[in-house]
Amino acid sequence: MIRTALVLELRNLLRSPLRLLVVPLVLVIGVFVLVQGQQDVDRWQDAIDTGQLAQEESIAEALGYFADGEKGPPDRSWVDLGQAHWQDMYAATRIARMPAPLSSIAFASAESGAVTVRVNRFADPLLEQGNKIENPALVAAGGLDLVTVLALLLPLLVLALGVEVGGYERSAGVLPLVRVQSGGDRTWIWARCIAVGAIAATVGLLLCFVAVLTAGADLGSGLTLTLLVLAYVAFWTALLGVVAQVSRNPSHGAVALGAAWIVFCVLIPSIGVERSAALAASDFALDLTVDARDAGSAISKMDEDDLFAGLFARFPELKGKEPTPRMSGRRAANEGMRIAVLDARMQRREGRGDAFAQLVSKMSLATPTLAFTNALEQLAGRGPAAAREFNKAVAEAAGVRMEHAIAASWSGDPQDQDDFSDLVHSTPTRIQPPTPIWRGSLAILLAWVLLILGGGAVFARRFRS
Amino acid sequence: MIELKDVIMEYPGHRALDGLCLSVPDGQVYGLLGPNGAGKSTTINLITGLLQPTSGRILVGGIDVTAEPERARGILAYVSESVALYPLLSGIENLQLFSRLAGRHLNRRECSECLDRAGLQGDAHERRVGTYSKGMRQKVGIAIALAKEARAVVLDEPSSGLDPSASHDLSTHVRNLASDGLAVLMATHDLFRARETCDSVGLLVNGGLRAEWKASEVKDRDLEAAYLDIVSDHSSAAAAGSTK
Amino acid sequence: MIRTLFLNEWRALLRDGRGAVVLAVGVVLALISSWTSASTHARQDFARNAATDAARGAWDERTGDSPHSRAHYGDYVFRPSGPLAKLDSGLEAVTGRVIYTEGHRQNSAVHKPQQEAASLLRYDRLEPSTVLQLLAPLVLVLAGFGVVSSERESGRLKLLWLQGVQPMALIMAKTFALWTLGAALCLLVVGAHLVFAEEIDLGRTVVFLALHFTTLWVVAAVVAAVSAWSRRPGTAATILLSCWVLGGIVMPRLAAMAATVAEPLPGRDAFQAAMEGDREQGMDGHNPRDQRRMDLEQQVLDEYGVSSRSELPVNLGGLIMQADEEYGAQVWDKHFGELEEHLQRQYSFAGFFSFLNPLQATDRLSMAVAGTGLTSHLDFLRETEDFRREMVRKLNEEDAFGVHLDANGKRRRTTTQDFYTGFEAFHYEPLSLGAQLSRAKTDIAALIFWLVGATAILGMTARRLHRGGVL
Repeated sequence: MIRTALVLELRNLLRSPLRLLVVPLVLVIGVFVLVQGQQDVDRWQDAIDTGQLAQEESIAEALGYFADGEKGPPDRSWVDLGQAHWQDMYAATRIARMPAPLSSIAFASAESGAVTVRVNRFADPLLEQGNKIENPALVAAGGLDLVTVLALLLPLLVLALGVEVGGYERSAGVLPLVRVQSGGDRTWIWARCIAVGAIAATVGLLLCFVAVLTAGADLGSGLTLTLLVLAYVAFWTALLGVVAQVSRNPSHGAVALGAAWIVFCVLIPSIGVERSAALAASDFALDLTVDARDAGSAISKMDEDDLFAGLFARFPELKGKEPTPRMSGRRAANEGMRIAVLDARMQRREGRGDAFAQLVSKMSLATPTLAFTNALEQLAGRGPAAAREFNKAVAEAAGVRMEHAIAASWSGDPQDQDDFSDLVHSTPTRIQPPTPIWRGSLAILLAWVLLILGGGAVFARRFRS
Repeated sequence: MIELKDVIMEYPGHRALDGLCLSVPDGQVYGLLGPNGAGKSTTINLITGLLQPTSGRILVGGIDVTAEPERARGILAYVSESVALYPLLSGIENLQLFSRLAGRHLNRRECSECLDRAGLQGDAHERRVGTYSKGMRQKVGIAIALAKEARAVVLDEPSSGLDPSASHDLSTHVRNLASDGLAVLMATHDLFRARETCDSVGLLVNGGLRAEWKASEVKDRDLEAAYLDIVSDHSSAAAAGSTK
Repeated sequence: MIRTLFLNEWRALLRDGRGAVVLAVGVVLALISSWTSASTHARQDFARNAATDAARGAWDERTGDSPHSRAHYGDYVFRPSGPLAKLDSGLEAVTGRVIYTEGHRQNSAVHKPQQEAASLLRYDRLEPSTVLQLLAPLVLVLAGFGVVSSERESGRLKLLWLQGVQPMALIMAKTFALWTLGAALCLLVVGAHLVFAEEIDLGRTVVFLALHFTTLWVVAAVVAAVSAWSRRPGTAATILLSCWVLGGIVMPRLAAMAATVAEPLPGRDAFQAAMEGDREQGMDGHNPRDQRRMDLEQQVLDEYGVSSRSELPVNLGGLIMQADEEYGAQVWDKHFGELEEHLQRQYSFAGFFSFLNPLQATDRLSMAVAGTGLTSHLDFLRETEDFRREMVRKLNEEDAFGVHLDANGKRRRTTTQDFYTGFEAFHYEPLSLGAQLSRAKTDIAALIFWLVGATAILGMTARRLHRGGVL
């Protein structure tokens, strides 16, 4: 019966100018945003390459001075590559945040974490900004990328193609005929809905295929994207099926499906945004601004024992390497303590970030659209979690630099080319995006499908009785 | 009086009325019979001013419907096959609303009287129209005509779907309208009801009036046989014409 | 006649269960959005004031700084909310909240905490402006898709026609009834705002109300017209819901995307590199920073008739800093001016979509009236930069002239703590409503276009009904 229904839906599609317009429209918009997304990823890659080039020039310059036996540029007498401080400056490695294989699908994400960060021992990843200069007026519009197309337009495609299923049969009196001919009208309506879902899924999968192809993504990412899209289409198909079982005419069907789309895609997400605004209301980043600025003077006023205890807690390897008297190593210890303070600040920020992540998780339970959006952003390596992971890696690298600088400062040994090379190699140059967490979202989508089918069956039975 | 003089109505590629002449005097009920597609609905839409004729004149109470549509509508009432009212309003509220739109401000008592005259039971006056049967809604339609103090009424298939008792009831009230001096044109397929209710009956086929009978004549003839003969002749002629 | 039809429409709406539900949902959303927005903003205002006080306290309490080190210490500006941000928070979620004002460099507005919930930011916030611009039109669509088409489908339209109802009166009464429904929601939202708000900008509130009244009239007219042109209510519902999805959800995103493609912005790295290059090498590429410094030093020495820095009764460093600062300001003006123009060009480009989408025109005008749009944001950035320049100028001048030569010919600083505590905190005076609106001419023109167009469509619809559209 599904085959018969599919033939009918395909005929309907080819013979109705409106439907014939809608399918290519979604495809064209999808391909267009994918091209834009790929260009965005190219710009991302360009920023990484530019940073890398600057990095190589800086290292080559320093190696040139070592080769010529000079301390630094002749017109800057204060530069001394024999000192840990200047080695740190010249070795300031650019850490690049690498795009995920499918980064192009979520290029309009509001998250604007940094793409490359110049790491020295004073680096503060929390103050870094993204490479994109964004027009807030355009960002506020919500962004249009493949995630938006799949999350908002794909359900509309299901609705547009299936709006009259069930309602038409009932209002035009076709249902008794179907019942007599096939023995079950419910099966026929479900078959039609599945056929509509199959067409919509084909459109979604075509876009996924183009996304994977243009990005050159790996099979695993492609399959994950496919699974998520299929689950999302399954949810809307199930919803279409339930509405089709009870709608009296196409008008009822249109209003019911339209209302469902509005609730799942507009209303519930908007409650989430309002909650996130409430969560953000009291955060004016005092910890990142006033407190961070004044931390330096607070550290310089710290009791010596407390300072060194704090420093050794953060850098246990330094314990026992401090000069005597300790006072002579205080300046380096002060700098080191800043990293410990930065760590504490990042932890607090992580706590705040977790609160937002929990909100997103809770809201994802409330609507499959958010679960789907969240999973795709994860897959694209664009979400705030990816930015946080990157910041952590930068802070870690800054810590390594700091430890090296303090050790060198305390030992008082002059630094040579080998130390410089060690410094360069001690900092990672590329940070890969974190492994996307999408299984939870997929489970939510499937749970919604079951819920709709189960609830719909009960509702349809009561409606019929 | 309702009068149609040499009325021609053409749609793109199709002539719906072909020089139709028809007259319904005041105080009389005229039954317009005809098969599907004969032009009955077009005739009603022309009389009510919803369509403009290609040529010819249509007069209601002596007023040219084409030249003075608003004046003509002011003295014309219309009762459709399934009288469309606001289902969430009561019978009285519907009557009040439609009367007010026609420029007549009736109070509840006057509305109630009109509904009584139209034969609607008193206990239904305050009930929502959504709970009414088809026959009851038609009575509200007749009450609207009465409240408007119309001089002519057009009824479109009024007995369709009514049970014999409601249909008889309707005939009585239509006759009452004529007794009040109104010219009544009733388009119908129901030969029995037409014979029982109307003073004159006309048979419309392919856009032209093919036969007219007075009530007395109708009763003397076998209306059904005549109807079938005429319709069959004209259908064959039309088919032959289209073949040529 | 219009009055009778209007009252009947309202009576039908109130008695129809679906109409009542739509109305009740609209009322509940209006109240919830007003209340949550008011409480969120109250918390936000409190936190901002606390942050401002903390920054000010740190500034006042700090001791032992030279003016130059104080310029490096800097100050923080916390972005205030627009005058009607409780009704329309506009761009606040996507613009930074804090700007660090310091010597030598201009910093961007940073810290957008809502971006921690990035996947949510793709959607609209449930605030009063969303209720009025997105949900109120939807309420009108759901309440009004059958206003004329269901009259036609049921045959009542014929009866109304025969009762002497003029098509123009019918369509106007239906439109007016729908509009009053929307207007009631609007009044409820703004009324709730007046109840919950601590400060009220009456002028802006009245214009905000008038703007949404206008938009809802356009929506009501389009709903009535589509309903009248559709043979069945289902067709009208499908067309109107599609229009709503396009106008409210898809087109604003498409417009933003088109503007980004048509006028791409430079990357941050490229922008910073160009600015730093100009500052180092001179804007013409032939006036390097070191050369500028040397020229200034010679000029000052000549002015005071001395041959070395140590003989100067002023601190040359302060003068050099200020000269560099002024040069840096020119560079910033050039680059930021270009960027600002670029952002405005993007915004203007997207603005032409307002002629296709009245909801976009309203959204942009609403942000302008609320003082939360792009114009306000750019004005705030300029004001902050002016504040920074004035702060750094005072510090550099003090650094240069707040010294005297003691008996041994050594320079001694005369700066006291009062000098620092005398600095006024940043205060932002929002752009006036007139200034905001004068920069939103395209959107005003678009809304007028829609107002005239929608009213003309009503006339055309009435003519069509007159010519047989009743059938």
